[in-house]
Amino acid sequence: MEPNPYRAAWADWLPTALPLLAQTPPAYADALRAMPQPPRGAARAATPSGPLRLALLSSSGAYDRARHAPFAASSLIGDATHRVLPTDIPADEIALAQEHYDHTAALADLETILPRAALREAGVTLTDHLVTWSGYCLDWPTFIEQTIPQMVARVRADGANAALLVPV
Amino acid sequence: MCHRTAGLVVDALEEAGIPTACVGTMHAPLKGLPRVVVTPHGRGSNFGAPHDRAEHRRIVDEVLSLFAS
Repeated sequence: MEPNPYRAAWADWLPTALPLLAQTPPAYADALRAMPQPPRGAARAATPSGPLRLALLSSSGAYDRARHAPFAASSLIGDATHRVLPTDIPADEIALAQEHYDHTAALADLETILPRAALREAGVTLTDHLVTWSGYCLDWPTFIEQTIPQMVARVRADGANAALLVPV
Repeated sequence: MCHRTAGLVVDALEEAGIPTACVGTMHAPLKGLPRVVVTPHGRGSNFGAPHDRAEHRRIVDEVLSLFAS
């Protein structure tokens, strides 16, 4: 396997960040200031000429309360995994495990972050699954190497020709 | 951090040939992404206040216009 230069840089940064993240309250800005960044992608996909078949993805930490383990919301480096939910899952079967935003609005009306009804009202066909992750994820090497490829594979398998992402 | 992880996902989807749009609440971390809508609402209410159907639809329509261009 080829060495991943980003993973090496991240592993060098992590020991400097952990003590800051462990403070009460955590010193997020100080910890994240020196977090290495991977090279940005330059690819730009063409927009579809026909009707949209849209995948909906969100960093909201949403999960199926009956079938999924919650995201590790209180971990110092967050959670690098993802969840796949049926798009038509009732709102009251969804829970949120991401402690870095106020859940009040989303719990009152999930349309604030997952606008399924508004998209359908606009004539959009949604794919069969929602894809979610926890926006508080500092293990970027794992997220990039393992989680994102699974998310992309799910979106492709669902036949999406476009994707809407909602970072929360 | 949430917006920055979304940027990582956007890069991978675009690389896979799937065009993306991102509806966030902060400009800086979304800079450079291909299709972005930054709304004036707070995190957790990206599409507007609960039950504000008109605002949810307005933002959805703005997103769809990005895919049409």
